Amino acid sequence: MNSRALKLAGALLGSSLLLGGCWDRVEIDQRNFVIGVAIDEPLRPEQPSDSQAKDKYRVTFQIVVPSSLKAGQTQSGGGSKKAYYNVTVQEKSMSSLYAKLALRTSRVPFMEHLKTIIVSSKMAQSPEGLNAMFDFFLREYDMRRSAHVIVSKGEARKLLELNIPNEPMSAIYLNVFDRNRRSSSFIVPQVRIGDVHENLLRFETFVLPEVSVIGKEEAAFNNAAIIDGRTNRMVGSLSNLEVQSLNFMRDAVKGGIVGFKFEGKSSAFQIDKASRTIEVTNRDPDRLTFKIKVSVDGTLNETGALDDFTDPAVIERIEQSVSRTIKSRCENTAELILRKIKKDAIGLGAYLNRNHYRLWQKVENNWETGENLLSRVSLQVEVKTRMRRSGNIGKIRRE
Amino acid sequence: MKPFDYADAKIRTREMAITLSSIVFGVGVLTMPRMLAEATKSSDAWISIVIAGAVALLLAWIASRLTVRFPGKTFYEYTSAVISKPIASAVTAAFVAYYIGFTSYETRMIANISKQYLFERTPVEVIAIAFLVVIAYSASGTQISLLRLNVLFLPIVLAILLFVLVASTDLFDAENLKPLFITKPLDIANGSKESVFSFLGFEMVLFYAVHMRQPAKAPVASAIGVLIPVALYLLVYLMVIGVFNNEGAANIQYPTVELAKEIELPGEFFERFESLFFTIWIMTVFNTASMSVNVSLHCLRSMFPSLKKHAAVIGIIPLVYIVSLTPQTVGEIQALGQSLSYSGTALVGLVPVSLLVIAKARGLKGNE
Repeated sequence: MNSRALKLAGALLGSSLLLGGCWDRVEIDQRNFVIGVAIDEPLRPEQPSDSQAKDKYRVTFQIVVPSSLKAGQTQSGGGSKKAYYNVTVQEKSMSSLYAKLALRTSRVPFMEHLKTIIVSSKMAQSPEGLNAMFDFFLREYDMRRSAHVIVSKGEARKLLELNIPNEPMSAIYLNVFDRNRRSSSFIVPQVRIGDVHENLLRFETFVLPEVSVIGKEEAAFNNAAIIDGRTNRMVGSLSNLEVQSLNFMRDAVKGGIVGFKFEGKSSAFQIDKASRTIEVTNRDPDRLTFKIKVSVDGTLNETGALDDFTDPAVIERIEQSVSRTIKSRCENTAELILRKIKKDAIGLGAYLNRNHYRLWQKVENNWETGENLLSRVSLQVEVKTRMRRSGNIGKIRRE
Repeated sequence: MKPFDYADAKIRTREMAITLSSIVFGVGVLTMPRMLAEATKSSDAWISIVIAGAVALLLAWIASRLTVRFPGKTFYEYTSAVISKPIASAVTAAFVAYYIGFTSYETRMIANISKQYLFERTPVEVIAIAFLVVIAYSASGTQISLLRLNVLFLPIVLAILLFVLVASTDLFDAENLKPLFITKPLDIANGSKESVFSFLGFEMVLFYAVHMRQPAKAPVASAIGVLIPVALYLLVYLMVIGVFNNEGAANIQYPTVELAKEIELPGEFFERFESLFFTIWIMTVFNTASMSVNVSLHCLRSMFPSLKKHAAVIGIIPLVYIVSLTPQTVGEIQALGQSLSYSGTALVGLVPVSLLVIAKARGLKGNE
C-alpha cells in the first residue's frame, strides 16, 4: 500500500466517525405527536398517599394516531377508530408530568405540534396563577409560542374527549375557531401562549376564550375569561352579549350579526366592517374620562318591518337604532368590567401606556391595584353606523 | 487536496463590500434584539442601532483610508513602515489573539444554539469539533477563494432573512412600537454599547484590502459593507419588538429564532421554517469564523515567514477549541462575549486611527 492509499483510508475512517455520530435521530414514526393539553385540578382519593397529596395538576395529553387519521380520510363516515387518544396523568409539576407521560406511552412524546392548551376555569382561578402552569410550555425548546390557550367551563378533559363528526381531532377543532370571527362577533380573538407570556410580562389584564361543552359532539366559544395581569388568575367571566360588546370596545370585531329592534320588530344587522378609536377627554388622574368611538359598516340582514329600505330617512332610523343597541350594550359591559370586576379587560391602561406615556406614569401604580383608579374611570361610548345595503329584496310582502 | 487556482486573484469593490457585510452579519443577529430590549424601553433602541452604526461607519472609513495610503501592502508591512517592526509585531499579535478569541466565541455560540434547537443529545464538544474541522479546511485555502465564498453565500442569507421578516408581518403589531422616545439618553448610549459588538468585523478591510483590484475604492466598499448589516439589524430589531413587544423580547433568549419559529405558512411543510433559518445563520457564522481564522493565520505568517500554513492551522484550531469550551454556563459565555467585545472595540477604535494619524504626521505613503 502506498502512502496515498493510506491517507485516503485514514480520511475515510475519520469521516465515518463524524458522519455516523447522529445522537439525535428519532424516526418520525417513533414520535408521539401531542397536539392538545388539558389542565385540570387533581383528583383526590379518599385516603391519598403521600405522593398523591402533593399532586397539583391532572393533565390530559391528546396524542395523534396517524394510521387511523389516514383511514378516516379514505373511508367515508365509517371511521370506527379515533384519530387520537388521550392520556391523563397526575403530578406535581408540568415537567414531571411530561416525564411521566414517557412511562405510559411507547413512543417519545413530541410537543412541537401542540395546537391547543386548555385550562379548566377552576385551575385558572387557583391562587397559583397561570404563570406556574405555563412556564414549562414557554421554556421548553420544542415548544412554539403559537399554541392557542383557552379556558374551559367545567372539566378541561371533556373538551379533548369530544367526538366531532367532521374533524378528526378535537384539539384541532378547538384551534380553528378564530376564523369564524368573520361570521360571529361573539368569539373572543385567539390568544397564543406567546401572547399570554407578553401580557404577563407587561402586567396587562387580558381575555381568554371560555369554552363550554355541548353534548358529546360540540363545544361553544361563547364566553370570555378575564385574567388579571398581576396575579395571573381568572377574575371574572363574561357572557356572550358582553363578549360582543367587549370585542367592539377592543376593536376585535371582524363580522357577525347585531340584533336590534326596529319599529318593534326584531331585526338583524350584519357587520361588514367595524373599527374603534379611543380618546382621553379628561386627563385628571382622579376623573379620567375616555371616549370610545365605534364605527360600524354593514347590511340589513333580517327584519320584520315593512318599510321602504331605500328611503334615506328609514335608513337613518335603522342606523340610529343599531347604534343605540351597540352603545347601550357597550356601556353596560363597561359598567360591569370597571365597577364590578375592576380589572382592565378593555385595555385602557395599554392605550394610555402607548399613547399618553406621561399620564400613564402618573396613574400606573394605582391603576388596577392601590387606589384602583380604573374603577373611577368614566367611559363614554359613541357609535356610528352606516347601513350600506339592504339585502336582495325590498319587502317580504306587501302591506 | 490541492486548492483550486483562480485565474484572477483580485476582487472587485462590490465583492469587497459583500465580504465585509457578511463578516459583520454574524452571531449578533440572534442575541442583539434581546440585549437592546433589556437596555432600553419600548422600541427606542433603533436610535442606539443608528448611533452604533454611525460609529462603525466612521471607524470603517478610517480603517479603509489607511489601506488606501498603502495599496498592495499587507497589514504587517504597512504597520511596520509606520510604527517600526517591534510595535507592529505587538499590534499584529494583539489582532491574532483577538481573532482567536472571537472565533472561539462564535464556535461556542453556534455549538450551544445548535444543541438547544437542533441536536438535543449531541454533546457541545462534538458539534464544536465538527464546525472547527470545516473551518480549518476553508481557512487554509487561498484567501481569494474564501472571499468568493462570501459572494456565494450572502444572497442566500439575505433572501431567507428577508423572507422571515416578510412572513412575520402577519404577527407584527405597530402598537407594540409605541410609546416612542421615552428612554433616557444614557440608556440609549448603553444600548449602542451593546450593539457595537454586533457591528465589529468591518476592520478586516485592513487585512483584505490588499486583494482589491482598485484599492482606492476601499472606503466605498467598507461603507456599503457596514450599511447593509446596519439596515438588516434595524429591520430585525423593529420586527422583533413589533411581534413580541419590548418586555417579551427582553425575556426570550434568542428572539430572532423565535421569530422564525412563529412563521406558519399554509401547507404543513413550512411549519418548521426555523430549520431553513438555522441553515443560513450557520452559513454566515461559518463565513465570519473562517475569515477570522484566515486573518490570524496570515498575520502569523507575515510575522514569521518560515511558518508553514498547515502547521499554523494545526496550531490555531486546537487553541480555538480549548478556549471555546472553557466557559461552563450561559453566564460565562456571555462574560467571554463581553470581554471580547471590549477588547475588540478598543483594538478597532484605537489602532487604525492612531496609525492613520502617525502616517499622516510622518508623511508616509506606500506608493512612494
